[in-house]
Amino acid sequence: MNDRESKLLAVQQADFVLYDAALFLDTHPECVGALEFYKNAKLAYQQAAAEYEGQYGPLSRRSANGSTCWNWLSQPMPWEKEA
Amino acid sequence: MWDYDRKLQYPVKIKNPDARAAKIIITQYGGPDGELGASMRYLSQRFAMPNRMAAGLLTDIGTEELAHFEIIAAMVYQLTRGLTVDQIKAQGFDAYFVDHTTGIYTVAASGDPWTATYFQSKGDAITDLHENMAAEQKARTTYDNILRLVDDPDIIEPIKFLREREIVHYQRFGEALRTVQDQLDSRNFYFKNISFDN
Repeated sequence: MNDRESKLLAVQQADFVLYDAALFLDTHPECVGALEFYKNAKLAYQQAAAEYEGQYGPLSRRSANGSTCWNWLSQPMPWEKEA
Repeated sequence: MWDYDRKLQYPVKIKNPDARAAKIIITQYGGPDGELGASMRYLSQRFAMPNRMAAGLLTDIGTEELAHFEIIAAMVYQLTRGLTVDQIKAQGFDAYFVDHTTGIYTVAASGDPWTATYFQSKGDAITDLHENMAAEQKARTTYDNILRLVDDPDIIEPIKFLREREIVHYQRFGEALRTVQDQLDSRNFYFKNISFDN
C-alpha cells in the first residue's frame, strides 16, 4: 500500500467512525458519552482529511479548487484500482 | 460515497395545495423522463466512460439529479398537504390516494410505476452520451408541458429552475461527448467501442 492509499484508508476509517456515531446519535440525541465520542471522532476525521487533501487533492466538491487547473477530476475515480 | 445536505437545491414554498398539479408534477419523480431515471442513468453509465472528465461529469450530474428528485418530492408533498377527501376526489387524486394515501411514490402521471426500462446503460460512451443528451431534451419538454398546465407562481418558479438545469446538462454532455470523440479515430468514430475494445 502506497502513501496515498494508506492516507485514503485513514480517511475512510475516520469517516465511517464519524458516520456510525452520527447514526447512533440520531436515536440517542442526549447521550453525553456518544456526544463526546462524536466530538473526538470529528477531530480525527478532520485531521485525516486534511492530511490526504493537502497532498493528493479534494475528497469533495466543496474542497475542490485550482489556480491554473480545476483539480476535482484529476484523481482516479473511486472505483478505479489506482484509487 | 454520498452525503446528505439538509437543504433543497432550489427552495420550494407552495402556499396553496393543488392535487391536480401534484398528479402532473409527480411524473418528474417516477415517470419516463423523470429525475430518478436521470440519476440512475448517469450514475450507472459513468463506469463505462473512457476519461475522468466524462466519468466525473456523470457523477456530478447524477448527484444533482437526486437533488432534483428531492425538489419534485417536496413539491408533491406541499401540493397534497391538508386536502379533504372531497378535494382529493374533485381534483382527480383519488386513484393515487387509494394506493399511497399522500405518501410519495415513484409513478408517472399515468400512474405507471417507475421502471429501470426508462433508461439504458449500454457500455459504449458514444451511445450513452447521445442517450443523455436526448434524455435532457425529453425532460426539458416535460417541464415545458408542466408549465403549460400550471399557473401558480409558487409552482412555476422551481419548475423553471429545473427546466433550465436540463439545458445546462445538455450543454455539458455535449462537451463530454467531444472529449470522448477526441480519443477516437476522427475518420470513423465507430471504428471501435472505446469503452470495451482495446
